[in-house]
Amino acid sequence: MSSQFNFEAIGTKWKIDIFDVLEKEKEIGLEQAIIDRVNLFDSVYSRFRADSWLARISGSPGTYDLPPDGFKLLSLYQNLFSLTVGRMTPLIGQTLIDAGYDKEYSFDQKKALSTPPAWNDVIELSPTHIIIKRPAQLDLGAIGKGYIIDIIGELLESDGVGSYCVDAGGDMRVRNAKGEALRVGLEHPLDTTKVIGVMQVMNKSIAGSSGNRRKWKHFNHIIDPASLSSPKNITAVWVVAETTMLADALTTALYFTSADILRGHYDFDYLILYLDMSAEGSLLQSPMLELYQ
Amino acid sequence: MDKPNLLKPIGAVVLVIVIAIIIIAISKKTAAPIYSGTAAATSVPAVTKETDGTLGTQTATTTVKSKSTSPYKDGSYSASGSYMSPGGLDNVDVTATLKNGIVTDVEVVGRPGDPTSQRYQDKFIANYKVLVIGKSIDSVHLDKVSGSSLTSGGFNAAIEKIKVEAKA
Repeated sequence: MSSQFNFEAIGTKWKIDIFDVLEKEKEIGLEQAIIDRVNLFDSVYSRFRADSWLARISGSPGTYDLPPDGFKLLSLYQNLFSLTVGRMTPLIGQTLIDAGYDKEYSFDQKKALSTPPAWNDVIELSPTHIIIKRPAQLDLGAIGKGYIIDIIGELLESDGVGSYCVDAGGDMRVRNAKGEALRVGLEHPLDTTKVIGVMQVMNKSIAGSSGNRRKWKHFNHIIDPASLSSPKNITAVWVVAETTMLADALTTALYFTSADILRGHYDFDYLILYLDMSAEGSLLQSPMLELYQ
Repeated sequence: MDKPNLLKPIGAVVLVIVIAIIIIAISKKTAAPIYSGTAAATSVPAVTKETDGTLGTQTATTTVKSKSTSPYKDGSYSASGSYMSPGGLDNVDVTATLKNGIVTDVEVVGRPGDPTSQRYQDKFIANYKVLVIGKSIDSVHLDKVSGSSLTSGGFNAAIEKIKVEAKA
């Protein structure tokens, strides 16, 4: 028998499958530990909570201690900011809010969008501290979810769980001690009753990004600082990588820079689906991907 | 001998085989699947007689709606892609021409005057890409689905609200 935990947190639906046999008592304890850990992450990094650490540092310049998991998250942002020449940025927060993706989910654009500030004008990062030079709304949405999925996976592993899938809204970390793959359908971005293919995932993570659900007016959850509009040519991106943090981060980075540049720095496979329903990417050569043409 | 020197003769052999297949195909004037755009163009299927005009012909002019896909016959497949979401305003018309199971042409009509469509048509031809059609989720064995992030109840409720407002 396996265990399954279902709950909603950080604005998405979580489904955690544990394929190991757990004693009832351990199962209950583990579920609570997972929910507590996700809520802790939310209380630190959420843009949607006025009492979060992120809200505090966004609002007032100063030098702040990084939370224990902060450097890993922010340094990946810093590297991707550089590789995308500033187009993937945690400083997109105010632009998203102005476009309507705010705490109240108003989805109502209140004013003309402005270009986010440059990294060096706002942030100075060290392994233990972050210096905020001037107020700027940070948003860690492009990486945060993948990272908390990894943290939960590691929590399970440290508790002796060998085979599991941590799925938060379609981004997932799959570990299987027995070497069994999960069949993950790649959702058709224009028709949620269809899949465009099936990816077999084993001891890896997969993340997907598509604007079809987080979409309002003419925006979605990704806004390009260069054009102040949401990318339209790419309808979906999937990345398979060692960690969910990397997979999640690269789905956004691929909207903004070439796969060749990113593959020079990170180990991953990807599939990009364009508006004309053509697909390209290294996953086309993977025997683990079955595509429906 | 290093790798590049080994690869060249293999590449030549593959090329010869491909050319041979194309020549055989042309000489037999067969309509069997040929995995080459140029060869496929030479095997034009015979036009079947139309009885009273109600039945289409099995030629490249057949128009099929995207929902009645499998198996894919030769012809022009048109799909109107409208985003299934509250914005609901983004539409794109995609027409793909299939011949012997391969895509020979793709036409995308997006927003009028938008050069993006043309750019992506060009890119399609220039790069190794495949056209994806998809399958109904119900027809495929799946453990999981990955795509746009499933959203929480609060987000969904907010989206529903603006959908109602948009209609008012």
